[in-house]
This record gives sequence, structure tokens and C-alpha cells, in this order.
Amino acid sequence: MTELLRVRDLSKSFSLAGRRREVLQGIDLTVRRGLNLGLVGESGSGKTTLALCCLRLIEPDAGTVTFAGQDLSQLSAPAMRRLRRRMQMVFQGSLEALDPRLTLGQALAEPLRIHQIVGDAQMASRTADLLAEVGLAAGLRTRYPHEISGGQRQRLGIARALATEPRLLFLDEPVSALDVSVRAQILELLEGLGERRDLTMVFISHDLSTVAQVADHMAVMFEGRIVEEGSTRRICRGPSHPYTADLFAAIPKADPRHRPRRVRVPAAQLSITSGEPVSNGGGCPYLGRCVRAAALASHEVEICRFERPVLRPLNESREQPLEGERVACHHPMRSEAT
Amino acid sequence: MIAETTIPGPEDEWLLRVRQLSVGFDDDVEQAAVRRLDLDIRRGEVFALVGESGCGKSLTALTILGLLPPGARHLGGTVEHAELGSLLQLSQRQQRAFRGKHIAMVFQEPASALNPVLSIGFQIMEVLRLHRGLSRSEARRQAIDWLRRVAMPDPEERLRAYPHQLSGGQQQRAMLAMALASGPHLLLADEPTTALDVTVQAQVLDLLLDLRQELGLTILLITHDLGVVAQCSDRVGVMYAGALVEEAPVERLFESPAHPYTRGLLASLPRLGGDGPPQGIPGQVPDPGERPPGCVFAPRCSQVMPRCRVADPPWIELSAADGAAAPQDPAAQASHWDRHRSRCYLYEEAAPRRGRAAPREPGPLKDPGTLR
Repeated sequence: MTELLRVRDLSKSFSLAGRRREVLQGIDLTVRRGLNLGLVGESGSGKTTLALCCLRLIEPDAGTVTFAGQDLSQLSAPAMRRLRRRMQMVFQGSLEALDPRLTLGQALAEPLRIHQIVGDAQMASRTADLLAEVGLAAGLRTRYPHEISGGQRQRLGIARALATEPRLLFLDEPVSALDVSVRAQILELLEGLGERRDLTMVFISHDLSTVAQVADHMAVMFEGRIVEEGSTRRICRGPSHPYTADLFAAIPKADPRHRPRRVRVPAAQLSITSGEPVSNGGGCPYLGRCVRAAALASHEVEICRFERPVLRPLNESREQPLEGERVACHHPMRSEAT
Repeated sequence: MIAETTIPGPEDEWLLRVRQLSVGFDDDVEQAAVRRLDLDIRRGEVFALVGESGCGKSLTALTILGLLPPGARHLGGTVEHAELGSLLQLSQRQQRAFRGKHIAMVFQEPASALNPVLSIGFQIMEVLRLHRGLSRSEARRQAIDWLRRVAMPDPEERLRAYPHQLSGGQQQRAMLAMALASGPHLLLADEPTTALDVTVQAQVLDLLLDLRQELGLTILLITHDLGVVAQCSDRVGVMYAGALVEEAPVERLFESPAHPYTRGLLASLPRLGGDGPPQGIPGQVPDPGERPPGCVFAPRCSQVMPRCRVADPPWIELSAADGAAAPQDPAAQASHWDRHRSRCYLYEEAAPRRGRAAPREPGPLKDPGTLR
């Protein structure tokens, strides 16, 4: 399948309160046309920054982003703007992402006008089509964002992004703020769109269970790095990185008979959870929370302490390691699919 | 204390008893945001109130605390507390005295519930000095202790931190410390983990359950997440458009959900491992003022019958144990807390009549396709 987006060795750091913080560190990622990618990780892991770098809404410090064969860093600002028609983003927080002073119809017309997609004559019919495509009643056109529900606002955000007929759509936590019932509706809508249009999606979320519904592939991020990637099927069956396994374990199961007592994270380590990077020299950044390391003998954990694991193909030793299945762990968990 | 005809269980078991509570923004009870709500909360339990946004869950909690938002009015009904009496009849001053001290609340968005210009240490100490009359130094000592109990890293250091300097999980811990510092026995937790990452959510829920054990707390947990309900609660009330539509012990609810709304919520949950996509519930919760006559859920219900659009269905008891026995029977009283009931005509035929033996199962309409 053809490559739509390719990210190579992408890095970005911000200065926060006099401290330099590496938000993205050497990200390699490929999105293939027609295969939806899920970008998973806790808040602060760099998911949103990665998406913004791909759209060049933030300039990366190093590395390249190639979209449909074009190196984005070589493009002039006007050329980049034109290209963004094909690469859109639905931002987190549907209320904040919309101009409160514009009606739904006006908000939808904005991208159509800016990118000169249709003239004023066809504006009404095109906005009506878009509203219908995302399942919004035409009568809502004159409403303001605060007058509609969160689910409806999310639909509008999607319609706005679709207006320019993108090939690649980033969706930042598209359903996290919604009720479960509405969440299922939006996921259904997105699945339908992927089938109807030539559209590939990148879902950004901290919730593995929703990402698993819509993504063909997943990349799991921790503190600015990808620590595991592979097919959704394989990762759901048997995650290799202990962090991915922890993300699965954290999803509350809708079964009251099954209430596992989770492995307690000592209070001293909780700051790691908050997205605060903990300096661990050159070792594995996940070591402080790693349940697997706690179960290993100390000589086995030695390597985790001093050597940072890099992303390597799963079952490297085999003659044909699984393609696209990679993990950054010295002691990956055994996976059923391997 | 008001004389009650339906006394829920032995007198010493209930802590909070809500009867026919209506709260709304105009005088129309039918369209009120909270509509004739009945709720019994047992001492020491975690009672989960579930439903989509706009169902009146938060307003219920705020009413219990006597914190009606601007424009909202108490239209009728009572909130009885086993020790404090009728909460809504207390004076402002009496309400201030119990609020925080005996009944505390944690809110969904810790960032907007904490005061941004005061350190969290100050905010926790304020509670201790106000409600417990502690000296400054003693309040400080106990504030550190509370931060430690809610598993805040570096508690002494964090005492000086302002809310924006903490992560979402830490803010939620700080708010929990503040809510618990005055020693309440009832905690109203409004979506306490919704704004948090799943991993942090798991930690905060574990913490909540630990503290419940340790402090003997009773918790009213408000959430739309049935996963959280399954993991944390003892009994569940499903709320739709201002009223309860189903009530059951948690195992029972997940085993045989009765009301189509409850089943819709369960079918909306994502399934890992590919049992097909979640179903969702078409449409949305009607706003107060736009509710249809009859069963409010009828427009979204896949099993709607003509009569559903005419009259609001009554409570129908689904569990076998109660209903058949006289209210004075101690066994029946014990089972008050185990009862499973739903407001849906689908179960009318299966319902036990007074003085008759009741069927064990909720009825023939249990649809295995929606169960997981």
C-alpha cells in the first residue's frame, strides 16, 4: 500500500519555566493510505505535538515529514497552506475549537471560502451536503456552537475538516469528552466516512479501547517516544511493551464480577504518571513504573537501568520478523501472535 | 423525621433518603431537570448514579448539598439524612455547617473547582481550620497527612503548589484531600475521574475505594462510564431525563439489564477483541421543556409500544425476593437493598403482584444479543 505520510527522526523540544523539555524524540512513523493509525499514550506523551508537527502548525527542531511524496520542510508558506487542504485536523475540545460568534453554517463556509473550493452560489448547497454527511439536521445551520450538544459539535468539527476534501485527517481525542452512547455514534460515523471517501485517519487518544475500534495500526507513545507499534489486532491480543499492557489493564472492565486489584504504583513514582519526565540517565524511561521489571531478577534489569531501549522489530532473531511490529523494550512480553 | 409508609430496610441501614424530589427552572414538574426522584443510599455503600450528560445527575448531588445553581428551584420532595434530618428544610447557616463537614463533594473538573490563586495547602488547611477548628500549625500537619493519604508525591513540597502546577491526577488528589479533610461520612463524587487518563483514573478509583474502607465512607458516585460503575459500585441507579429508570445491585444490573436505556448504555461500550462495533443509542437526551408525554425514553427506544407514548410507566419490581412478602417481614426488609426494579412496560407481565409468588427472572424479554 502506498505511503501517505512518513515521519523520520522527528524531534521537538520546548522550554518551560527555564527547563528544556524534549517533547518528541526521534519519532519514526509511517501512515499508509487507507490504513487508519491510532496514536495512543497518556497526556503529555507528545501525541498532539506530533500531529501539529506533521501539519507544520509547529515547526519541528529536527527530522522530516513527507506527505504524498513531498518533503514539507521544503515548502513555502503558501504552498504549505495549499497542501493543508489535503491534511486536516479535528482539534480536541469541540467548544474551544469553534468560533463562538459564528453560526454552524458560517463555520462550515469558512474553510470552503478560504480554500476557494466553491463560490458563493454553491455555498448553501455544499454546506447542506456536509451537514447531511455528518448526520446534522439542516435546520441547525443557524445555530451557534453553545446551543448544540457536545456530540453535535464534534460532528460539526468533522464536517469542517472534511470541507476541504482531505486525504489525511488527524483527530485529537475525538470522543473523550462525549457520553458513551454518543461516542459509539461518532465512531460509527468515522468508520463510514473512511469507507465512503478516500480518507485515512490518525486517531489520537489516551483510551486504547476507543482507538482499537477504528484503527488498523497503533503506535503507543511514552514520554515523546514510540515504545510499541503494530497492527491493532496483534496489540490487542498480546501487547509487547509493559506500558501497553498497563494501558490495557487500566481500562475499567464492564464486569462487576471481575475486579482485579491493580498493581499499586508507589506514591514516590506517581509524578511520572503526570507526564513529568523523570530523568533516568540513559536507561529505560518506563523503568520506574514497569511491573515486568519488578518481577525480573536484578541482573536482568541491569540493562534497563543503563541502556535506553530502541524500537526494534518484534522477533528480530527470527528469519522473517513481523513487518511493522516493533517494540522498544529489553524484555518484551511474550505475545500470542508471535 | 417524617413518617414513611415505605421504610427502606432496618432503620439504621439507610443514610440518605430522597423522596419525590423535583428540581427545575420553572414550575412544571413534568419538565423539571430532576423529576420526582426516589433514592435510598445505604450506609457504607458506593451507590452509582449513571446516565448521559443532561440527565440531572449533577443537579441531584448539588441539591442534596443545598447548592442549587442560579435559577434552579426546589419544586417538591424531600432529602432525609439519617442523622441530620431533612436537609432541604435546614437554614442556610445549618446547611453551611453540614456541607463540607458531614457531606462533601468532589467535582468533575478539578482545575475549575480549585481556587487558582491559593496554594492547595492553604485550601486544605482552610477546611481543617473552619470545620475542625484546628490551629494553624495543627492544620498544616494534618494537611500534609491528608496529601500523603491520597498518595500525593512529596506532600510537604506540594502544600505550597498552586493548582496549575499540578497534573490533572494530582489536582484530583488534592481535591479529594480537601473534601475528606473535614471528616465527612458521605462523599458525593461527580465524575471524579472523567477528565483523567485511563491509567491515572485507575489509580484514583483504587484510592477512593481504599479510603472508603479506611474511613467508612458512603459514596454517591456520579458517572456516565459503566466500566467505572462495574469496578467500583455496590448498587446502581440509572437516570434518564431527570428520573430514575432502573435500580439494581451492580452484579444484577450487568447480568440482566432490564430497561432499554440501560441496555443501550451497555451496548455502547467499546469491546476489545472485536465482537463488532459498539451500538450507541440513536438520538439524544431531550432538554427539559421538550420532553414527550408518556415514557421519556420512548422516542429513542427500539422496543417502543403504543402505550409507552401515552403514560409514564410505573416502577416494576423485577427481583424475586421482595414484593411478595409483607413490608414488616425482616427478610423483605433486608432485601430492600437487593431489589431490582425498572420503569418499563416491557416487564409488566413478569412483575410479581403483592401476595403472589414471583418469577425469578426479569422476564422473557431479556435480549441476549445486547448482553455481553
